[in-house]
Amino acid sequence: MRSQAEHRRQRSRFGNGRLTRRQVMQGMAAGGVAGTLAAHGPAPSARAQARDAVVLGMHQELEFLNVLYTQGGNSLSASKLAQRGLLFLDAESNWIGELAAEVPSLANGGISEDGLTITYTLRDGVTWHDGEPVTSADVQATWDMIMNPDYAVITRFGYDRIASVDTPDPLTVVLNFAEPFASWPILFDAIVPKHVIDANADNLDESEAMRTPIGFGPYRIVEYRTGESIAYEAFDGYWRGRPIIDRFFIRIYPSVDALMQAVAAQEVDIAWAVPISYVPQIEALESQGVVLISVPSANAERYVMNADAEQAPLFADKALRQALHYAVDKQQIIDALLFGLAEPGLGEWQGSPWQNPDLPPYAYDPDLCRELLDGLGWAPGGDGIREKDGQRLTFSHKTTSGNQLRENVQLLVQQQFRDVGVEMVIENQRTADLFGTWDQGGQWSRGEYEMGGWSHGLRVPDPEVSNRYLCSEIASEENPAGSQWYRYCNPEVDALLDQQAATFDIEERRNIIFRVQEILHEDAYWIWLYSAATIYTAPAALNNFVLHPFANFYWNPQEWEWA
Amino acid sequence: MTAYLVRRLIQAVPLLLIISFIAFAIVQATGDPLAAYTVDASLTSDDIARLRERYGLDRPMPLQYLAWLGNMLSGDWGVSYYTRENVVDMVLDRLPNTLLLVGIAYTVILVAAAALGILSAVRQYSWLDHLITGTSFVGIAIPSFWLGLMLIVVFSVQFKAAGLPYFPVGGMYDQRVGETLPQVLWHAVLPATTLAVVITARYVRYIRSAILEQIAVDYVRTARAKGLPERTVMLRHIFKNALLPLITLVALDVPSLLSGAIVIESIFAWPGMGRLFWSAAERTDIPVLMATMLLVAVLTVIANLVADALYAVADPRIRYQ
Repeated sequence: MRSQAEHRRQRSRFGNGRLTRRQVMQGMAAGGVAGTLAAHGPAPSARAQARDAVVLGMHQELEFLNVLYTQGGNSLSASKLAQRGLLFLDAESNWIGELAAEVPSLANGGISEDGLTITYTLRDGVTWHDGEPVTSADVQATWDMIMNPDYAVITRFGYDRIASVDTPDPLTVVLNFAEPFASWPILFDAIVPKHVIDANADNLDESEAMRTPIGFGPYRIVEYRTGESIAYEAFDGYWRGRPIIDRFFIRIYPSVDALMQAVAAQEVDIAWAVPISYVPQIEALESQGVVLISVPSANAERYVMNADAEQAPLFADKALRQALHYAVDKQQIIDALLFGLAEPGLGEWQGSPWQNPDLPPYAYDPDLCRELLDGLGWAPGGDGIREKDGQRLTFSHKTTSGNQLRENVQLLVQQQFRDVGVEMVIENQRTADLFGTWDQGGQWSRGEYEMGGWSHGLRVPDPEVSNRYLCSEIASEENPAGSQWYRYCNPEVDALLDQQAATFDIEERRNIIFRVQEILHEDAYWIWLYSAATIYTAPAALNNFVLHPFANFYWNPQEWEWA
Repeated sequence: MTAYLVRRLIQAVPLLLIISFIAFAIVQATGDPLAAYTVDASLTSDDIARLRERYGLDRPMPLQYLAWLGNMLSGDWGVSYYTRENVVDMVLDRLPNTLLLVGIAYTVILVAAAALGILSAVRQYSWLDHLITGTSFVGIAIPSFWLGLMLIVVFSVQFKAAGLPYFPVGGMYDQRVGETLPQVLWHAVLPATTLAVVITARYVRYIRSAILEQIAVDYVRTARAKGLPERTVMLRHIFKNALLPLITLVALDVPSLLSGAIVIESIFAWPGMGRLFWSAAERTDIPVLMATMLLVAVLTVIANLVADALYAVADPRIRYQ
């Protein structure tokens, strides 16, 4: 801690104390233009320097620039420019080797028959940003670090299934699992150098070495100023080849509006994850060479009917649940509110190779819906709302208040339900009240809703999201850490999810996940509304910029090039 | 006077303790620092339980408060849950940025407000007074976020589109150039202007009315009768006496601004205390929130003391026992 504190205090207002080659050059450049303030308007200098640099603006504060310590989406992406792991993704979201020379499989013998032993052969000649070679010892040290009770790494999911890591030689890693773990490709998505861990062992969590880690990715972190910016430099030794653009900057803006102004003023080249409501503003910038880039996301907005029959007795009737699906016009939502930049909702695994494409959709059909409701005995009452045995067909709906898109979608769906004689009463809540844990009184967690609207995505193209469905994950007084909010419990689904988690043949595993989706589809607790595209802006003059559904902007930065 | 100040400082201790406890209770009630993680499939319940224990969040609130208090008093302000930086370092990193912004703005504010206030009072009911008064009402009425955005639209976006020299939209410097003094000053122009306009407008009104109160009293007539030049009468007699309300205003404003002109720092992406507080509040980052709130409390106590001391300087009739 001391060394970090001293390091930080040494930083003078306009420089860093330590002089690097880069800063000397910057100083020279700045001296050259620092004549008068007026002459120093950024127009000439920024333009002149833009060719060797790219600036990406984010509208969300970063957390920690280390994959092992953060779950923030933008922090993970920013870290992945520098930190890489054993595997990476190709354009179609299939796993490919990064540090690993190839992806272990049953076919190539990398995975043992029982699935308990996974052997990686590492790529020869890969080096850390400081020039040290990357070896199997680093993988082992990373696992030791993750499992060390003294360190607050963010998740041990999967790593805790490993019994031991063997390193027979510097380029071979053998993972010995205590129990089968079919999601093994997600493990070791970042590796930390052994020599860095050892050097900072007594206070690893708060060390500068973890805050601005070295890796073997295309860019190395030069400086991270919390809440402000990150500066990267191209890594000469990147194994796929040195990035063409020398310098990469990430700048933090406190709001989307501020970010979009910065795009208009060309302070920022690329805008990260712009909300869909800004599409008209982006289109207005097209004449200035700003392009809207979008990619389908693995993130589906859902309206959930609480599956706990005591908390939402109305939805205990499966036929009623299914009927309600036909009332919702997804395409209208997409066209009216999402500028067409979304796909109709399909399911939990949408946007990944694990989504079952053959589920018969609940197509928009209000007449069928009315017919089904009539058949169930729900007859239109005096005010147009259906009734049955004196009970009105009404339920409450909660989503995040202040989220304008969600609130607009909600109004539209409310109208669509009203058209078939169903009343949806809006009871929106603050984010914190909805998304809190059981102990904090989080309303999703406690099941204090009838119908709820939120979105939830996949971070990686791996189907493992069992905690959203397993009976054992339903939060309760006895299980306050449970992370299932649907309050859904189906032993058949439980069994299938357990089975897929130990299935190492990809096709076989896919079939099990598809079967799960058929059951969920039939149970019809979830109205999948839409999956909105991820939207970035980029300059037309930046070639090879590819937005990846999972590896968003960090997928191929080494190939970007200014026209 | 010294005895008085010491007594006041001692009195401030229980006050600060109460404030810190209330702040802690409120922060606890606003949300769960780990709530964001419960959404994520890659965090198991074990992970969340482990992190909760590690941060001490599994203990009852009063115990958490006592632990925090003990650490704070021994100089350990904790580590941010999210950025894992030492909170003292985070504050020391941000405070100079805010000081710079507020410093520049206040230099402009005090000079401009004094000049305009005096002018407006001396020329009461002239067209100049009407102009200044009218403009300051507009200045008071304009929300700072709107003014900031308008300045950006005009002086950054439109000026750039028109090929004129333009001001940057946000940040403290252009990374492509580096953090040089001219860069920082250049980036401070718009946020400092926004801050200055809004506050100057208010101060002008106060100074004007304070001077008008003094302008007709007997000692001023005496001073004039003695044949003192008008300039001396105004600055040495009237203005000095009119300063008292201004001192109070500044003493109350400055600590809250040092805790961050949240809105302005947000619009202009100025990495100061306000942004630090806001981002911590969004994530319920308890150590950071507590540090920033306590800092404001301490600054407010100190600023009030300084104001009391300055009263005695500005008005020798005021004596403290």
